[in-house]
Amino acid sequence: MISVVGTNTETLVMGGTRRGAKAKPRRSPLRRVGTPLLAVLVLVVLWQAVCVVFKVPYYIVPSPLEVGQSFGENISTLLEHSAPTVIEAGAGFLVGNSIAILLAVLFVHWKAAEDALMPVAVFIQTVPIVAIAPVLVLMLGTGYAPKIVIAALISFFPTLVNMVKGLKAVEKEHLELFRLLSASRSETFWKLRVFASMPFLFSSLRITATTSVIGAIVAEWIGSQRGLGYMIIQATYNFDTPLLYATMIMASLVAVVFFSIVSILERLFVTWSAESKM
Amino acid sequence: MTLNEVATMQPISIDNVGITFDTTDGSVTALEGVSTSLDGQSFTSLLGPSGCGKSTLLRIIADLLEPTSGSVSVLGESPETARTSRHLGFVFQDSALLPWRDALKNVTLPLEIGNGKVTDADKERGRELLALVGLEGRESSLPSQLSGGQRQRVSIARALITKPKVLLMDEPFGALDEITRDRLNEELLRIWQVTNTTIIFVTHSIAESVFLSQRVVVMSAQPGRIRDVVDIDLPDARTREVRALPEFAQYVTKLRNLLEGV
Ligand SMILES: Nc1ncnc2c1ncn2[C@@H]1O[C@H](COP(=O)(O)OP(=O)(O)OP(=O)(O)O)[C@@H](O)[C@H]1O
Ligand SMILES: [Mg+2]
Repeated sequence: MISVVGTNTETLVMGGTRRGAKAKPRRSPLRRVGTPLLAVLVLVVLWQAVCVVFKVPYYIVPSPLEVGQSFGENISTLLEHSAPTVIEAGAGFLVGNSIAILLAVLFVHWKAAEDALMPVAVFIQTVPIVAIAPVLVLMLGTGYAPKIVIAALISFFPTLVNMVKGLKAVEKEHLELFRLLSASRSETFWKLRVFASMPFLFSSLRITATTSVIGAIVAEWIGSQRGLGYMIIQATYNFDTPLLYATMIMASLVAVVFFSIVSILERLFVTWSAESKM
Repeated sequence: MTLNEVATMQPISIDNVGITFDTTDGSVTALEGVSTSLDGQSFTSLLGPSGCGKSTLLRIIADLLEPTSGSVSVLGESPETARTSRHLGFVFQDSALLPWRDALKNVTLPLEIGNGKVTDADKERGRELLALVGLEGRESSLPSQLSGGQRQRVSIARALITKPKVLLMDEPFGALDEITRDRLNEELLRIWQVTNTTIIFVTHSIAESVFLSQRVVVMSAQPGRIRDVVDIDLPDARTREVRALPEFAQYVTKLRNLLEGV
Protein backbone atom coordinates (compact mmCIF):
# COMPACT_ATOMS: atom_id res chain seq x y z
CA MET A 1 0.00 0.00 0.00
CA ILE A 2 2.79 2.39 0.86
CA SER A 3 4.26 1.72 -2.57
CA VAL A 4 1.36 3.62 -4.12
CA VAL A 5 2.89 6.61 -2.40
CA GLY A 6 6.49 5.69 -3.08
CA THR A 7 6.34 5.72 -6.86
CA ASN A 8 6.06 9.48 -6.92
CA THR A 9 9.43 10.06 -5.36
CA GLU A 10 11.48 8.57 -8.13
CA THR A 11 11.44 11.71 -10.23
CA LEU A 12 12.91 14.48 -8.20
CA VAL A 13 12.75 17.11 -10.87
CA MET A 14 9.91 16.75 -13.26
CA GLY A 15 9.98 19.24 -16.06
CA GLY A 16 6.96 21.49 -15.89
CA THR A 17 5.47 22.11 -19.27
CA ARG A 18 5.82 25.78 -19.91
CA ARG A 19 3.65 25.85 -22.92
CA GLY A 20 0.11 24.60 -22.89
CA ALA A 21 0.82 22.30 -25.77
CA LYS A 22 -0.57 18.85 -26.36
CA ALA A 23 -3.89 18.79 -24.58
CA LYS A 24 -4.66 15.21 -23.70
CA PRO A 25 -7.72 13.75 -25.35
CA ARG A 26 -10.48 13.43 -22.81
CA ARG A 27 -11.27 9.95 -21.56
CA SER A 28 -14.70 9.32 -20.17
CA PRO A 29 -14.76 9.67 -16.36
CA LEU A 30 -16.16 6.16 -16.09
CA ARG A 31 -13.11 4.68 -17.80
CA ARG A 32 -10.67 6.95 -16.02
CA VAL A 33 -11.85 5.82 -12.59
CA GLY A 34 -13.20 2.45 -13.63
CA THR A 35 -10.07 0.92 -15.14
CA PRO A 36 -7.74 1.30 -12.14
CA LEU A 37 -10.58 0.33 -9.81
CA LEU A 38 -11.09 -2.87 -11.75
CA ALA A 39 -7.38 -3.63 -11.56
CA VAL A 40 -7.42 -3.19 -7.77
CA LEU A 41 -10.47 -5.40 -7.50
CA VAL A 42 -8.80 -8.16 -9.52
CA LEU A 43 -5.69 -7.95 -7.31
CA VAL A 44 -7.74 -8.13 -4.13
CA VAL A 45 -9.69 -11.15 -5.38
CA LEU A 46 -6.41 -12.81 -6.38
CA TRP A 47 -4.95 -12.07 -2.96
CA GLN A 48 -7.99 -13.57 -1.23
CA ALA A 49 -7.78 -16.65 -3.46
CA VAL A 50 -4.08 -17.18 -2.69
CA CYS A 51 -4.68 -16.85 1.06
CA VAL A 52 -7.54 -19.38 0.99
CA VAL A 53 -5.97 -21.87 -1.42
CA PHE A 54 -2.56 -22.00 0.26
CA LYS A 55 -4.00 -21.60 3.79
CA VAL A 56 -1.64 -18.72 4.60
CA PRO A 57 -1.79 -18.05 8.38
CA TYR A 58 -3.39 -14.64 9.16
CA TYR A 59 -0.36 -13.43 11.14
CA ILE A 60 1.92 -13.90 8.13
CA VAL A 61 -0.32 -12.47 5.41
CA PRO A 62 -3.93 -11.77 6.33
CA SER A 63 -6.58 -12.13 3.66
CA PRO A 64 -8.36 -9.00 2.38
CA LEU A 65 -11.46 -10.05 4.27
CA GLU A 66 -9.55 -10.25 7.55
CA VAL A 67 -7.95 -6.88 6.85
CA GLY A 68 -11.34 -5.39 6.02
CA GLN A 69 -12.83 -6.81 9.19
CA SER A 70 -9.99 -5.40 11.29
CA PHE A 71 -10.35 -2.04 9.57
CA GLY A 72 -14.05 -1.97 10.39
CA GLU A 73 -13.57 -2.99 14.03
CA ASN A 74 -10.76 -0.52 14.65
CA ILE A 75 -12.03 2.38 12.58
CA SER A 76 -12.44 4.73 15.54
CA THR A 77 -8.93 3.97 16.85
CA LEU A 78 -7.51 4.39 13.35
CA LEU A 79 -9.21 7.75 12.92
CA GLU A 80 -8.09 8.87 16.36
CA HIS A 81 -4.48 8.01 15.54
CA SER A 82 -4.72 9.55 12.08
CA ALA A 83 -5.29 12.99 13.58
CA PRO A 84 -1.76 13.53 14.95
CA THR A 85 -0.23 12.09 11.78
CA VAL A 86 -2.31 14.46 9.64
CA ILE A 87 -1.31 17.42 11.81
CA GLU A 88 2.40 16.50 11.73
CA ALA A 89 2.47 15.77 8.02
CA GLY A 90 0.40 18.87 7.18
CA ALA A 91 2.48 21.19 9.35
CA GLY A 92 5.72 19.65 8.08
CA PHE A 93 4.53 19.98 4.50
CA LEU A 94 3.71 23.66 4.97
CA VAL A 95 6.89 24.51 6.88
CA GLY A 96 9.25 22.54 4.63
CA ASN A 97 7.76 23.84 1.40
CA SER A 98 7.56 27.43 2.62
CA ILE A 99 11.20 27.48 3.63
CA ALA A 100 12.16 25.83 0.34
CA ILE A 101 10.21 28.39 -1.69
CA LEU A 102 11.69 31.33 0.22
CA LEU A 103 15.20 29.95 -0.13
CA ALA A 104 14.66 29.38 -3.86
CA VAL A 105 13.59 33.01 -4.26
CA LEU A 106 16.69 34.08 -2.38
CA PHE A 107 18.91 31.82 -4.51
CA VAL A 108 17.54 33.17 -7.76
CA HIS A 109 18.16 36.77 -6.74
CA TRP A 110 21.45 36.23 -4.98
CA LYS A 111 23.83 33.83 -6.66
CA ALA A 112 26.32 33.86 -3.77
CA ALA A 113 23.66 32.50 -1.42
CA GLU A 114 22.96 29.67 -3.82
CA ASP A 115 26.64 28.82 -4.11
CA ALA A 116 27.03 28.85 -0.33
CA LEU A 117 23.87 27.08 0.77
CA MET A 118 22.97 24.66 -2.00
CA PRO A 119 25.76 22.19 -1.08
CA VAL A 120 24.54 22.29 2.54
CA ALA A 121 21.03 21.48 1.38
CA VAL A 122 22.35 18.61 -0.74
CA PHE A 123 24.30 17.29 2.25
CA ILE A 124 21.26 17.38 4.54
CA GLN A 125 19.33 15.54 1.86
CA THR A 126 21.86 12.71 1.78
CA VAL A 127 21.49 11.91 5.51
CA PRO A 128 18.84 9.17 5.82
CA ILE A 129 15.68 10.31 7.57
CA VAL A 130 15.66 7.18 9.76
CA ALA A 131 19.05 8.27 11.07
CA ILE A 132 17.94 11.83 11.77
CA ALA A 133 14.74 10.81 13.56
CA PRO A 134 16.31 9.55 16.84
CA VAL A 135 18.62 12.56 16.93
CA LEU A 136 15.66 14.90 16.66
CA VAL A 137 13.68 13.03 19.28
CA LEU A 138 16.63 13.45 21.66
CA MET A 139 16.77 17.16 20.86
CA LEU A 140 13.08 18.01 20.67
CA GLY A 141 11.36 15.46 22.88
CA THR A 142 8.47 13.19 21.96
CA GLY A 143 5.84 15.79 21.09
CA TYR A 144 4.80 17.09 17.69
CA ALA A 145 8.05 18.99 17.09
CA PRO A 146 10.42 16.23 15.87
CA LYS A 147 7.75 14.74 13.59
CA ILE A 148 6.98 18.08 12.02
CA VAL A 149 10.69 18.72 11.51
CA ILE A 150 11.12 15.38 9.76
CA ALA A 151 8.08 15.84 7.54
CA ALA A 152 9.43 19.31 6.76
CA LEU A 153 12.90 17.98 5.96
CA ILE A 154 11.42 15.46 3.55
CA SER A 155 9.37 18.14 1.82
CA PHE A 156 12.15 20.68 1.72
CA PHE A 157 14.64 19.38 -0.80
CA PRO A 158 12.50 18.42 -3.81
CA THR A 159 10.73 21.75 -3.63
CA LEU A 160 13.96 23.71 -3.28
CA VAL A 161 15.43 22.04 -6.36
CA ASN A 162 12.26 22.30 -8.42
CA MET A 163 11.52 25.87 -7.41
CA VAL A 164 15.03 27.08 -8.24
CA LYS A 165 14.74 25.35 -11.58
CA GLY A 166 11.24 26.74 -12.15
CA LEU A 167 12.13 30.33 -11.30
CA LYS A 168 14.98 30.11 -13.81
CA ALA A 169 12.88 28.34 -16.43
CA VAL A 170 11.89 31.60 -18.03
CA GLU A 171 12.06 31.79 -21.79
CA LYS A 172 14.71 34.09 -23.21
CA GLU A 173 12.17 35.93 -25.32
CA HIS A 174 9.95 36.57 -22.32
CA LEU A 175 12.91 38.08 -20.49
CA GLU A 176 13.67 40.20 -23.55
CA LEU A 177 10.05 41.32 -23.65
CA PHE A 178 10.24 42.45 -20.04
CA ARG A 179 13.49 44.28 -20.67
CA LEU A 180 11.94 45.93 -23.69
CA LEU A 181 9.13 47.15 -21.45
CA SER A 182 11.69 48.38 -18.88
CA ALA A 183 10.15 46.13 -16.24
CA SER A 184 11.65 46.33 -12.77
CA ARG A 185 13.15 43.30 -11.06
CA SER A 186 10.10 42.86 -8.90
CA GLU A 187 7.76 43.13 -11.89
CA THR A 188 9.80 40.52 -13.71
CA PHE A 189 9.59 38.35 -10.61
CA TRP A 190 5.86 38.67 -9.89
CA LYS A 191 4.58 38.75 -13.44
CA LEU A 192 6.99 36.31 -15.05
CA ARG A 193 9.16 34.11 -12.84
CA VAL A 194 6.43 33.21 -10.37
CA PHE A 195 4.16 31.96 -13.14
CA ALA A 196 6.94 30.17 -14.98
CA SER A 197 7.79 28.32 -11.77
CA MET A 198 4.23 27.20 -10.97
CA PRO A 199 4.19 23.92 -12.94
CA PHE A 200 7.57 23.03 -11.42
CA LEU A 201 6.43 23.93 -7.93
CA PHE A 202 3.28 21.87 -8.18
CA SER A 203 5.02 18.79 -9.52
CA SER A 204 7.16 18.89 -6.38
CA LEU A 205 4.20 19.70 -4.11
CA ARG A 206 2.46 16.61 -5.42
CA ILE A 207 5.50 14.52 -4.50
CA THR A 208 5.95 16.04 -1.06
CA ALA A 209 2.24 15.83 -0.24
CA THR A 210 2.72 12.08 0.05
CA THR A 211 6.29 11.91 1.29
CA SER A 212 5.49 14.25 4.19
CA VAL A 213 3.00 11.60 5.41
CA ILE A 214 5.71 8.97 5.18
CA GLY A 215 8.06 11.27 7.10
CA ALA A 216 5.54 11.79 9.90
CA ILE A 217 4.90 8.04 10.19
CA VAL A 218 8.58 7.14 10.28
CA ALA A 219 9.10 9.80 12.94
CA GLU A 220 6.32 8.26 15.03
CA TRP A 221 8.14 4.96 15.13
CA ILE A 222 10.52 6.43 17.67
CA GLY A 223 9.34 7.44 21.11
CA SER A 224 5.72 8.11 20.35
CA GLN A 225 2.40 7.21 21.97
CA ARG A 226 0.14 8.39 19.20
CA GLY A 227 -0.20 8.38 15.46
CA LEU A 228 -0.37 5.86 12.66
CA GLY A 229 3.36 5.20 12.99
CA TYR A 230 2.84 4.27 16.63
CA MET A 231 -0.02 1.96 15.62
CA ILE A 232 2.17 0.24 13.06
CA ILE A 233 4.78 -0.48 15.75
CA GLN A 234 2.14 -1.68 18.22
CA ALA A 235 0.42 -3.94 15.70
CA THR A 236 3.76 -5.46 14.74
CA TYR A 237 4.70 -6.16 18.40
CA ASN A 238 1.33 -7.79 19.01
CA PHE A 239 1.44 -9.90 15.85
CA ASP A 240 -1.87 -8.24 14.95
CA THR A 241 -1.07 -8.40 11.27
CA PRO A 242 -4.60 -7.59 10.03
CA LEU A 243 -4.48 -4.37 12.08
CA LEU A 244 -1.01 -3.63 10.67
CA TYR A 245 -2.43 -3.88 7.15
CA ALA A 246 -5.47 -1.84 8.12
CA THR A 247 -3.15 0.87 9.45
CA MET A 248 -1.18 0.86 6.23
CA ILE A 249 -4.39 1.35 4.30
CA MET A 250 -5.32 4.23 6.57
CA ALA A 251 -1.88 5.80 6.00
CA SER A 252 -2.37 5.46 2.26
CA LEU A 253 -5.77 7.08 2.49
CA VAL A 254 -4.27 10.04 4.34
CA ALA A 255 -1.58 10.36 1.67
CA VAL A 256 -4.13 10.12 -1.13
CA VAL A 257 -6.21 12.88 0.45
CA PHE A 258 -3.12 15.10 0.71
CA PHE A 259 -2.22 14.35 -2.89
CA SER A 260 -5.75 15.10 -4.07
CA ILE A 261 -5.87 18.44 -2.27
CA VAL A 262 -2.64 19.51 -3.98
CA SER A 263 -3.91 18.28 -7.34
CA ILE A 264 -7.12 20.26 -6.97
CA LEU A 265 -5.16 23.38 -6.02
CA GLU A 266 -2.93 22.84 -9.03
CA ARG A 267 -5.90 22.61 -11.32
CA LEU A 268 -7.23 25.85 -9.88
CA PHE A 269 -3.94 27.76 -10.12
CA VAL A 270 -2.13 26.34 -13.12
CA THR A 271 -4.92 26.59 -15.63
CA TRP A 272 -2.61 27.11 -18.60
CA SER A 273 -0.41 24.05 -18.31
CA ALA A 274 -1.21 20.78 -20.03
CA GLU A 275 0.43 18.83 -17.22
CA SER A 276 -2.01 19.93 -14.56
CA LYS A 277 -4.96 18.61 -16.52
CA MET A 278 -4.14 14.98 -15.85
CA MET B 1 11.86 72.39 -39.10
CA THR B 2 10.75 71.40 -35.62
CA LEU B 3 12.59 68.83 -33.60
CA ASN B 4 9.68 66.51 -34.04
CA GLU B 5 9.99 66.67 -37.80
CA VAL B 6 13.67 65.88 -37.62
CA ALA B 7 12.86 62.86 -35.51
CA THR B 8 10.25 61.55 -37.90
CA MET B 9 12.55 62.07 -40.86
CA GLN B 10 15.34 59.93 -39.49
CA PRO B 11 13.77 57.49 -37.10
CA ILE B 12 16.66 55.08 -37.35
CA SER B 13 20.21 55.55 -38.42
CA ILE B 14 22.77 52.81 -38.16
CA ASP B 15 26.37 53.81 -38.45
CA ASN B 16 29.13 51.29 -39.07
CA VAL B 17 27.74 48.79 -36.59
CA GLY B 18 29.63 45.61 -35.81
CA ILE B 19 29.14 42.96 -33.18
CA THR B 20 31.27 40.02 -32.15
CA PHE B 21 30.12 37.21 -29.88
CA ASP B 22 32.45 35.12 -27.80
CA THR B 23 31.35 31.53 -28.06
CA THR B 24 32.82 28.17 -27.14
CA ASP B 25 33.90 27.88 -30.79
CA GLY B 26 35.86 31.12 -30.61
CA SER B 27 34.57 34.54 -31.51
CA VAL B 28 31.84 34.97 -34.11
CA THR B 29 31.50 38.22 -35.99
CA ALA B 30 27.75 38.44 -36.52
CA LEU B 31 27.72 41.91 -38.04
CA GLU B 32 30.43 44.04 -39.61
CA GLY B 33 30.32 47.59 -40.96
CA VAL B 34 26.56 47.83 -41.21
CA SER B 35 25.34 51.31 -42.08
CA THR B 36 21.95 52.40 -43.25
CA SER B 37 19.19 54.81 -42.38
CA LEU B 38 15.44 54.61 -42.60
CA ASP B 39 12.80 57.19 -43.40
CA GLY B 40 9.96 58.02 -41.08
CA GLN B 41 6.83 55.92 -41.42
CA SER B 42 8.53 53.68 -43.93
CA PHE B 43 8.30 49.94 -44.29
CA THR B 44 11.68 48.28 -44.63
CA SER B 45 12.45 44.60 -44.85
CA LEU B 46 15.66 42.91 -43.81
CA LEU B 47 16.23 39.98 -46.12
CA GLY B 48 19.05 37.53 -45.85
CA PRO B 49 20.11 33.93 -45.38
CA SER B 50 19.88 32.25 -42.01
CA GLY B 51 22.59 33.38 -39.61
CA CYS B 52 23.41 36.63 -41.40
CA GLY B 53 22.59 38.68 -38.33
CA LYS B 54 19.08 39.94 -39.01
CA SER B 55 17.80 39.16 -35.53
CA THR B 56 21.00 40.49 -34.05
CA LEU B 57 20.60 43.81 -35.86
CA LEU B 58 17.01 44.07 -34.67
CA ARG B 59 18.09 43.34 -31.10
CA ILE B 60 20.75 46.05 -31.30
CA ILE B 61 18.16 48.59 -32.44
CA ALA B 62 15.87 47.49 -29.61
CA ASP B 63 18.65 47.83 -27.03
CA LEU B 64 18.57 44.14 -26.24
CA LEU B 65 22.19 43.84 -27.40
CA GLU B 66 25.11 46.26 -27.38
CA PRO B 67 27.08 46.63 -30.59
CA THR B 68 30.81 46.02 -30.26
CA SER B 69 31.51 48.92 -32.61
CA GLY B 70 29.61 51.68 -34.33
CA SER B 71 26.48 53.42 -33.16
CA VAL B 72 22.76 53.38 -33.61
CA SER B 73 20.32 56.19 -33.12
CA VAL B 74 16.61 55.73 -32.84
CA LEU B 75 14.48 58.85 -33.25
CA GLY B 76 17.61 60.88 -32.69
CA GLU B 77 18.20 59.22 -29.33
CA SER B 78 20.19 56.28 -28.10
CA PRO B 79 18.43 52.90 -28.34
CA GLU B 80 18.32 52.82 -24.55
CA THR B 81 16.44 56.10 -24.34
CA ALA B 82 14.12 54.97 -27.11
CA ARG B 83 13.45 51.75 -25.24
CA THR B 84 12.85 53.32 -21.85
CA SER B 85 10.56 55.95 -23.35
CA ARG B 86 8.57 53.17 -24.98
CA HIS B 87 9.08 54.28 -28.57
CA LEU B 88 9.81 50.73 -29.68
CA GLY B 89 7.51 47.82 -30.33
CA PHE B 90 8.90 44.34 -30.89
CA VAL B 91 7.21 41.32 -32.39
CA PHE B 92 9.04 38.09 -31.70
CA GLN B 93 9.44 35.19 -34.06
CA ASP B 94 7.25 32.82 -32.06
CA SER B 95 4.86 35.36 -30.54
CA ALA B 96 6.31 35.11 -27.00
CA LEU B 97 2.89 35.41 -25.39
CA LEU B 98 2.66 34.61 -21.70
CA PRO B 99 0.77 31.31 -21.64
CA TRP B 100 -0.99 32.08 -18.35
CA ARG B 101 -2.55 35.29 -19.60
CA ASP B 102 -5.54 35.43 -21.91
CA ALA B 103 -5.33 37.39 -25.16
CA LEU B 104 -6.52 40.68 -23.67
CA LYS B 105 -4.22 40.48 -20.64
CA ASN B 106 -1.31 39.73 -22.96
CA VAL B 107 -2.12 42.78 -25.02
CA THR B 108 -2.42 45.09 -22.01
CA LEU B 109 0.75 43.76 -20.33
CA PRO B 110 2.91 46.66 -21.59
CA LEU B 111 0.52 49.14 -19.95
CA GLU B 112 0.44 47.15 -16.74
CA ILE B 113 4.20 47.23 -16.42
CA GLY B 114 5.34 50.48 -14.92
CA ASN B 115 1.82 51.44 -13.85
CA GLY B 116 1.11 48.42 -11.72
CA LYS B 117 -2.48 48.18 -12.87
CA VAL B 118 -4.62 48.35 -15.99
CA THR B 119 -7.41 50.90 -16.18
CA ASP B 120 -10.72 50.37 -17.91
CA ALA B 121 -9.50 52.67 -20.66
CA ASP B 122 -6.45 50.43 -21.12
CA LYS B 123 -8.69 47.40 -21.44
CA GLU B 124 -10.84 49.22 -23.94
CA ARG B 125 -7.78 50.05 -25.99
CA GLY B 126 -6.67 46.43 -25.77
CA ARG B 127 -10.05 45.32 -27.11
CA GLU B 128 -9.84 47.83 -29.95
CA LEU B 129 -6.41 46.54 -30.93
CA LEU B 130 -7.59 42.95 -30.83
CA ALA B 131 -10.42 43.98 -33.12
CA LEU B 132 -7.90 45.73 -35.37
CA VAL B 133 -5.97 42.49 -35.79
CA GLY B 134 -9.19 40.59 -36.39
CA LEU B 135 -9.57 38.87 -33.04
CA GLU B 136 -12.78 40.38 -31.78
CA GLY B 137 -14.46 38.07 -29.29
CA ARG B 138 -11.29 36.10 -28.51
CA GLU B 139 -10.26 38.40 -25.63
CA SER B 140 -10.39 35.70 -22.99
CA SER B 141 -8.79 32.88 -24.99
CA LEU B 142 -5.52 31.55 -23.62
CA PRO B 143 -2.58 31.37 -26.07
CA SER B 144 -2.86 27.58 -26.07
CA GLN B 145 -6.39 27.94 -27.37
CA LEU B 146 -5.31 30.11 -30.30
CA SER B 147 -3.77 29.08 -33.60
CA GLY B 148 -0.24 30.11 -34.53
CA GLY B 149 -1.51 32.91 -36.75
CA GLN B 150 -3.89 34.15 -34.08
CA ARG B 151 -1.08 34.17 -31.52
CA GLN B 152 1.03 36.31 -33.85
CA ARG B 153 -1.85 38.76 -34.22
CA VAL B 154 -2.14 39.02 -30.44
CA SER B 155 1.56 39.71 -30.25
CA ILE B 156 1.24 42.41 -32.90
CA ALA B 157 -1.59 43.98 -30.91
CA ARG B 158 0.60 43.84 -27.81
CA ALA B 159 3.43 45.60 -29.66
CA LEU B 160 1.05 48.32 -30.87
CA ILE B 161 -0.54 49.15 -27.52
CA THR B 162 2.24 51.50 -26.47
CA LYS B 163 1.76 53.39 -29.75
CA PRO B 164 5.36 52.78 -30.79
CA LYS B 165 6.98 55.04 -33.35
CA VAL B 166 9.14 52.15 -34.50
CA LEU B 167 7.89 48.59 -34.83
CA LEU B 168 10.51 45.85 -35.11
CA MET B 169 9.25 42.53 -36.37
CA ASP B 170 11.45 39.43 -36.35
CA GLU B 171 10.07 36.95 -38.86
CA PRO B 172 6.62 37.27 -37.36
CA PHE B 173 4.98 35.01 -39.92
CA GLY B 174 7.88 32.63 -40.46
CA ALA B 175 6.10 29.63 -38.98
CA LEU B 176 2.84 30.08 -40.86
CA ASP B 177 1.55 28.49 -44.04
CA GLU B 178 1.65 30.58 -47.21
CA ILE B 179 -2.07 31.37 -47.42
CA THR B 180 -2.24 32.58 -43.83
CA ARG B 181 0.98 34.47 -44.28
CA ASP B 182 -0.34 36.28 -47.38
CA ARG B 183 -3.51 37.25 -45.56
CA LEU B 184 -1.64 38.50 -42.51
CA ASN B 185 0.69 40.45 -44.82
CA GLU B 186 -2.28 42.33 -46.22
CA GLU B 187 -3.59 42.96 -42.72
CA LEU B 188 -0.20 44.16 -41.58
CA LEU B 189 -0.09 46.75 -44.36
CA ARG B 190 -3.55 47.95 -43.37
CA ILE B 191 -2.43 48.23 -39.74
CA TRP B 192 0.75 50.04 -40.78
CA GLN B 193 -1.32 52.58 -42.71
CA VAL B 194 -3.64 53.35 -39.80
CA THR B 195 -0.94 53.47 -37.14
CA ASN B 196 1.75 55.47 -38.98
CA THR B 197 4.69 53.61 -37.53
CA THR B 198 8.07 52.92 -39.02
CA ILE B 199 8.37 49.20 -39.52
CA ILE B 200 11.46 47.05 -39.85
CA PHE B 201 10.46 43.59 -40.89
CA VAL B 202 12.82 40.62 -40.88
CA THR B 203 12.06 37.82 -43.28
CA HIS B 204 13.48 34.87 -45.19
CA SER B 205 10.85 35.15 -47.85
CA ILE B 206 11.70 37.15 -50.96
CA ALA B 207 8.08 37.48 -52.09
CA GLU B 208 6.99 38.63 -48.66
CA SER B 209 9.66 41.33 -48.59
CA VAL B 210 8.70 42.61 -52.06
CA PHE B 211 5.02 42.62 -51.27
CA LEU B 212 5.34 44.49 -47.99
CA SER B 213 8.19 46.90 -48.33
CA GLN B 214 9.11 50.22 -49.77
CA ARG B 215 12.71 49.19 -49.33
CA VAL B 216 14.48 45.87 -48.95
CA VAL B 217 17.85 45.65 -47.27
CA VAL B 218 19.62 42.54 -48.53
CA MET B 219 22.17 41.04 -46.19
CA SER B 220 24.90 38.49 -46.68
CA ALA B 221 26.38 36.16 -44.11
CA GLN B 222 29.78 35.57 -42.51
CA PRO B 223 30.26 38.22 -41.53
CA GLY B 224 26.81 39.81 -41.66
CA ARG B 225 26.93 42.80 -43.99
CA ILE B 226 24.54 44.78 -46.09
CA ARG B 227 24.92 43.56 -49.65
CA ASP B 228 22.52 45.93 -51.31
CA VAL B 229 19.50 48.12 -50.75
CA VAL B 230 16.62 47.82 -53.21
CA ASP B 231 13.80 50.34 -53.36
CA ILE B 232 10.54 48.68 -54.29
CA ASP B 233 8.59 50.92 -56.60
CA LEU B 234 5.21 49.24 -56.61
CA PRO B 235 1.77 50.87 -56.22
CA ASP B 236 1.09 52.14 -52.69
CA ALA B 237 -2.11 50.18 -52.46
CA ARG B 238 -0.66 46.70 -52.15
CA THR B 239 -3.59 44.52 -52.95
CA ARG B 240 -3.23 40.91 -53.99
CA GLU B 241 -3.22 41.99 -57.65
CA VAL B 242 0.20 43.50 -57.01
CA ARG B 243 1.62 39.99 -56.78
CA ALA B 244 0.61 39.38 -60.39
CA LEU B 245 2.38 42.47 -61.78
CA PRO B 246 5.41 41.83 -63.99
CA GLU B 247 7.40 44.30 -61.86
CA PHE B 248 6.70 42.12 -58.83
CA ALA B 249 8.31 39.15 -60.54
CA GLN B 250 11.25 41.33 -61.65
CA TYR B 251 11.90 42.45 -58.07
CA VAL B 252 11.72 38.86 -56.88
CA THR B 253 14.27 37.79 -59.48
CA LYS B 254 16.52 40.72 -58.70
CA LEU B 255 16.50 39.98 -54.99
CA ARG B 256 17.06 36.28 -55.57
CA ASN B 257 20.11 37.06 -57.67
CA LEU B 258 21.41 39.38 -54.98
CA LEU B 259 20.90 36.73 -52.32
CA GLU B 260 22.64 34.09 -54.35
CA GLY B 261 25.50 36.47 -54.98
CA VAL B 262 25.11 36.55 -58.76
N1 LIG C 1 23.95 35.35 -28.09
C1 LIG C 1 24.78 34.89 -29.06
N2 LIG C 1 25.92 34.29 -28.75
C2 LIG C 1 26.74 33.84 -29.70
N3 LIG C 1 26.50 33.92 -31.02
C3 LIG C 1 25.36 34.50 -31.40
C4 LIG C 1 24.43 35.00 -30.44
N4 LIG C 1 23.37 35.51 -31.11
C5 LIG C 1 23.64 35.33 -32.42
N5 LIG C 1 24.84 34.73 -32.60
C6 LIG C 1 25.45 34.40 -33.89
O1 LIG C 1 25.34 35.51 -34.72
C7 LIG C 1 25.01 35.13 -36.04
C8 LIG C 1 23.74 35.83 -36.49
O2 LIG C 1 22.65 35.37 -35.72
P1 LIG C 1 21.17 35.91 -35.95
O3 LIG C 1 20.31 35.23 -34.99
O4 LIG C 1 21.18 37.38 -35.92
O5 LIG C 1 20.88 35.40 -37.43
P2 LIG C 1 19.57 35.59 -38.29
O6 LIG C 1 19.95 36.32 -39.51
O7 LIG C 1 18.49 36.16 -37.46
O8 LIG C 1 19.23 34.09 -38.67
P3 LIG C 1 17.82 33.39 -38.81
O9 LIG C 1 17.26 33.86 -40.09
O10 LIG C 1 18.16 31.93 -38.85
O11 LIG C 1 17.00 33.78 -37.63
C9 LIG C 1 24.89 33.61 -36.02
O12 LIG C 1 26.09 33.07 -36.54
C10 LIG C 1 24.75 33.26 -34.58
O13 LIG C 1 25.36 32.04 -34.30
MG1 LIG D 1 16.63 35.38 -36.61
